[in-house]
Amino acid sequence: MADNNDIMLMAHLMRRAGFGASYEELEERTAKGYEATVEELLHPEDLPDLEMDVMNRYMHGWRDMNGLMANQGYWTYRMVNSPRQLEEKICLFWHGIFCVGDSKCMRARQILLELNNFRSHGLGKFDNLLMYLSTDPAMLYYLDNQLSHKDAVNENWGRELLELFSMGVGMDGEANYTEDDVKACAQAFTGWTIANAIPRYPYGSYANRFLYNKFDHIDDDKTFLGETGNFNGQDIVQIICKHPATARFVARHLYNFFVADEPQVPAWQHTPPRDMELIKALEDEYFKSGYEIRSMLRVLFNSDNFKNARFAKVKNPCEVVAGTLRLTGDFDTPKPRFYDPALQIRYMGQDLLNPPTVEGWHTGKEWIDSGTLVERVNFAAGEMGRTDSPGIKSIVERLASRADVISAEDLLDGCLELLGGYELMPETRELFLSQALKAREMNTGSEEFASQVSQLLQVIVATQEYQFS
Amino acid sequence: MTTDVQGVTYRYTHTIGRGEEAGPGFKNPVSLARGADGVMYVVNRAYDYRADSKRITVCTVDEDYIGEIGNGGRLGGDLMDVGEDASDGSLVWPTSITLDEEENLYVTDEWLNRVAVFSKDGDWVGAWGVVGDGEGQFNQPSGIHMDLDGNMVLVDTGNNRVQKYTKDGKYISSFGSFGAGDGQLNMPWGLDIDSEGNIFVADWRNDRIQKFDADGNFLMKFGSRGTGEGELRRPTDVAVDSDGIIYVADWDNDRVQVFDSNGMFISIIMGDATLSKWGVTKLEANPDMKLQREIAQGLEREKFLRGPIGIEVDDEDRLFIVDSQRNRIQIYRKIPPFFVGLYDGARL
Repeated sequence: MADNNDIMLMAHLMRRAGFGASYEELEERTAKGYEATVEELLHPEDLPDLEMDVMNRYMHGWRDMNGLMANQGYWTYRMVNSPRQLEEKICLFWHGIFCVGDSKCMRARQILLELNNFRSHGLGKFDNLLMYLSTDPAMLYYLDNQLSHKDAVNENWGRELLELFSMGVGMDGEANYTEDDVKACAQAFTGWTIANAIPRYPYGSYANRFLYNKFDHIDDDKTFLGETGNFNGQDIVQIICKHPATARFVARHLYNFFVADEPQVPAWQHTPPRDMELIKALEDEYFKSGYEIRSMLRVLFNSDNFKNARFAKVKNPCEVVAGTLRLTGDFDTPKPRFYDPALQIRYMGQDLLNPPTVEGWHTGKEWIDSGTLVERVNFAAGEMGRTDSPGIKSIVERLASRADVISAEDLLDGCLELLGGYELMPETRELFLSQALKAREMNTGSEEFASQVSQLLQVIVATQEYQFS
Repeated sequence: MTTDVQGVTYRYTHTIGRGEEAGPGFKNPVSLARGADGVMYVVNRAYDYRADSKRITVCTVDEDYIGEIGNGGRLGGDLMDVGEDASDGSLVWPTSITLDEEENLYVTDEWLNRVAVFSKDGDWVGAWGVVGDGEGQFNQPSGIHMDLDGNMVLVDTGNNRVQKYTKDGKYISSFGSFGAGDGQLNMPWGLDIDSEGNIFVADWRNDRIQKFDADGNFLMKFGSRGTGEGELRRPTDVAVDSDGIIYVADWDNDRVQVFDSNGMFISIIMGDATLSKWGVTKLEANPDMKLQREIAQGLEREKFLRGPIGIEVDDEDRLFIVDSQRNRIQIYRKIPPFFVGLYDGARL
């Protein structure tokens, strides 16, 4: 039988590398082993993809890919149900960095195609990923590179590639690049454009295409980050990727998303990493592996720094919603209100496929305000109140199988454990025992036991502790 | 000496429709029925978060708009809230339509588990159906068609069977069970009935078409999973013309395939859509969009079928393909491979 500490460690891994897991899944994975599970997560291509035919039969917008809400629903479904959990998590990771918003693009289909690239290449080499990004029609349009011409250079894409997508403005108190570097970068990407798109009406959207127009490219020497040559976009990507600032940038983002909350990106120039030891290890692996994200994550997930960082992060809205639905276990059958959970993610402040700016969502404590907290609590408590869901039924049955009569303390501990090893602060725990449970014993065979468990679960997910991952 | 006529060809005639949440246009059309005088009734499934778009569009083959039937989420609910409203006239997951001799409309609803009945003028007549897996019950009714006796044959998707009811919903018979053997079904969807009363079923998750006689006895099957000629991926609907030619909406392959009466492959239709009348008016009202379209690259992609779900053949052997994800219907006319008349006496 698996050690409880091992199961709780597995719960931590699955919350971070995925969107959580039921207790049954945690037991299975723990039996398989921590490192073996890490390897499985790192190789989603070895696992079967979701079969989408039945969902597409009933959710007509999903096969269309033309509507923002439909696409948000589709992605939420994948987060909850995909056996390739890290594939969806890394997709969310890059979506939060390489931001493209529907508010400008108005082509939800094109952004969904971009996400497919994040799924397929998000764990691969960073230089490859930047090349996909540099030729992505949604991104080029979002950052105006189709308006950048050799005789009228638009620096939007060139600047954000450096500032927000690869290096960051500075490191260890120093600037990473100059204004001249921004200009050279933008010049190198002149001619990287998109085809004129088929308008949405009368028959709907079509995928757009990347085009390289050599006649609109500045075919001349440029000096970029100290190197001079007749650079094109792919040369710029290679120069960026070998720069130490890029290793730091990627490492800090991985740390912030998977390990513990960091200050927001603009502060990174003057704010050192909170865990320099792990950041250094990630930077080393970045170069050692030839810029491979998968290798960096292997180092990260297997580090003690990661294993000891339980509940060091505020959950993002996707983690709240998808994580809760993976616990209740019945978000897999099509129904008319199937888009509701995606809307909940939006209401909690994360409008998928439509981040607020190119800077993306601010994370950590900035996810929480008096409005979004109420949304989180209401959603999670509502789900825990559904005693007919397979996940709640399973928790009730497990608790009932442990004893005929269960004390309030054991019931509380059991619920916390079966939700994935949550830990309450002492004062919260005392409040639960003295007020909510009134220190009484419960008969696990009684008719009201299921609702007693459900009500306790509802109160647990309403705590601030449940907001942490 | 005789010569066997081989093959059959089709001439694309025109396209009807454009993407619209209301009025002249369709939103994810899934099925159509042909009425008298060129009238068409087109079922719009729409997205679940635009319940007001769930409707039956009434128009003509020449694309004259007549009106709408059904009220989506409009009765008893927010426009944006489909809910599970089962009030009169509501359509939540409308899936298939057929007409009776008086041109009343019978529309299956896979969510409400009922057959909704409207008059041709759009008045609510009523609904029938009891959810379940017992005799006289169904679970997720999809394809529906009137048989030669004036009864309704419908596909009971959730129970993997086909059932026959009177027009007012009295149970008559059923056949089929879950499985992949002859006569067994896996989430079947559309169906058609030929001139001899035989029943053709799109056996969706078995990637094949099955033919039964009017009593439900298995006669033949064809198709297997794949993308090659004669292979199918999740076929949604089937239609049979007066010569016994069989048309299959090969949904997940984004095409229609044509088979002879023995199920032998004849040809593939990938789509030939052009601008519809409604599409032209849309562009004329939006000069910027018109210009965008004129300079757009890759416009040739616009002609292809995308997720064809429904298919019908009318008395003139015209083929109507419900091109669901492009919000339109592509229409073809069968070209006979032999001389059929119209010779006016002039020298050949």
